[in-house]
Amino acid sequence: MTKIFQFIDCAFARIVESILVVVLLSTVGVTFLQVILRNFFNTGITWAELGGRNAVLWIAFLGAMLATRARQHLSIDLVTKLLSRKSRNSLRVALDAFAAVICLFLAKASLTFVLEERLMDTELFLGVKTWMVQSIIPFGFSMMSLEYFIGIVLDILRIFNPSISRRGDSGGQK
Amino acid sequence: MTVLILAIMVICAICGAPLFVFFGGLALLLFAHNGIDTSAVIIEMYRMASAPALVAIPLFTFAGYMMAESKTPARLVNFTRALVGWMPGGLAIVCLIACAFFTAFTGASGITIIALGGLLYPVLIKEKYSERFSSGLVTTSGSLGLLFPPSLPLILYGIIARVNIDELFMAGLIPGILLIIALSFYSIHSGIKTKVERQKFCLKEIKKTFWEAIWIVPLPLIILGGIYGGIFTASEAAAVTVVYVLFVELVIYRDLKPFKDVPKIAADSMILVGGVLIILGCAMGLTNFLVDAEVPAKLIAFMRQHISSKYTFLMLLNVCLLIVGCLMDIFSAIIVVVPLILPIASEFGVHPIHLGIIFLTNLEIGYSTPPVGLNLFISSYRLGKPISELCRASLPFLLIFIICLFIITYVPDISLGLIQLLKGG
Repeated sequence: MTKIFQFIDCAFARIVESILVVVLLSTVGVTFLQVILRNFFNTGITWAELGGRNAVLWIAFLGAMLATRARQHLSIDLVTKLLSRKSRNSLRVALDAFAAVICLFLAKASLTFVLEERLMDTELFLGVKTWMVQSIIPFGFSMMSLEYFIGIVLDILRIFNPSISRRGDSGGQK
Repeated sequence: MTVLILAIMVICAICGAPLFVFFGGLALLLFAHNGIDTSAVIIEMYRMASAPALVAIPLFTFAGYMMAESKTPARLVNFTRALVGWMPGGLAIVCLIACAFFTAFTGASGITIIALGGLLYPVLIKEKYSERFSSGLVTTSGSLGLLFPPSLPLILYGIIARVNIDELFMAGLIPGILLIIALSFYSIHSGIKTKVERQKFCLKEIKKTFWEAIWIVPLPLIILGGIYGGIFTASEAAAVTVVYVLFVELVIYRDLKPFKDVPKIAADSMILVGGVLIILGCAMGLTNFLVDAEVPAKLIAFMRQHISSKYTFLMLLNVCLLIVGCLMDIFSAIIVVVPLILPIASEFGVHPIHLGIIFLTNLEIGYSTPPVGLNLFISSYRLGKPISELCRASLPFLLIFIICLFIITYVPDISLGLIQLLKGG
């Protein structure tokens, strides 16, 4: 059971990473091409700037999803540094629950937003509809909410069995 | 009910809940409380996709992380060491310059200490710098360079305050150099006092290390030259930098492997970028709400009653920002505090660009101050020293920082002079 869970978890993280790398490198490519075209060929890509700006939205949410998985979000971490290991674990349950609920509300609000935008059906560039680009917002928030819910379960299990590793202990940086 | 939820949120934030959750939740709550549909929070968030310079943030950070993961830090250190290593305190100055260079590119995320601190600290000790001086130097240098283009906080401030990023890049140069010079003098003083070993001046060594670093050293010039030569915009400069760094690291130096290292570095660097941008997105609804509720106007009215002169205001600003810098990370502080302070500052006749430089210098100090200074924690991890010891070691450096901060605050021309000169000439 845990093996299947770990496999899905890792596979999903790899997919998010891959999309992130593709979006990042395409943004670099298109923007660089734009500089070359303008300076040497006196022409340009009309949607380059618009595309780049919307790519940042995807980069922001995909990056935030990875940051959630690695528990690397910016926070005021004074209190957690002062607490003992045991009380820190209990505090984590509350904080993960708080984050999970707020992310769920943000996901709901953004879903309403995207559905309204879909009714207007405006095109952004090259046949890409505005709502398609925006759909990363509800998707990102739902996944972050899910991640925090998983975190709660692991946090609680950890209180009884301290050998279970915390989210973020395996993935992420140094 | 609203008050109760608000209280829970504030407690959670203080206890260490992710800040984006706090800002997003706060925006949802305030909108709902005022009978506005919560999807309006997301409308504000999507405005993120209309900020033209924002794309510079992920791209510059990506380029900076690639350089930090390669052997570029060592090359840069070797070159600057050959250049100034013969001076008393030379190695300490090497540390200052190399750290400033890397912080400008990696967005002051602490990666400078990871990449350079471990490299330089043992050498400093070997050349007989005192342990306290060395650890203080490495710790405080971790955020030095924040004022140099193309640092992430600088770009972020430009976006939030809606000022011209090209001008902001210019404005940071002289204050940034001032900080390095001031700290260099202190290093020379310490170098003479502790009688450190010096290297011999060797032209051949300079030549050799220069050729090794020739591809990296001109990078800041390429960026600034391109922007001010009108060849590309600030955000296009970021794309050019990524292509250039990819070319140098993959083709010329071959420090990084294209399929093994690059995707991993991209994902790692975007964890930081995603973390910053999601706070930006979530706080946009919040700041817009505060502006609509005329909070800045009320603050101005309040300040007007108690403060009359620009100088008292600047003094108060410094004290407040030093406290903010102690408690919050630099990115969240810029995102949340700038929209509130900007109108007040302009009311007192402080130029928004000058305000930006004051703001960043203050927060640069906050990096190395307890209780939450990021530099302290990273350097404690990297050097294996207790935080309390690093705090004491950082003190003389912070004192110099604060003196420079006062000069930067009360002499606006240090920040604005270069821009006026370029505009006039």
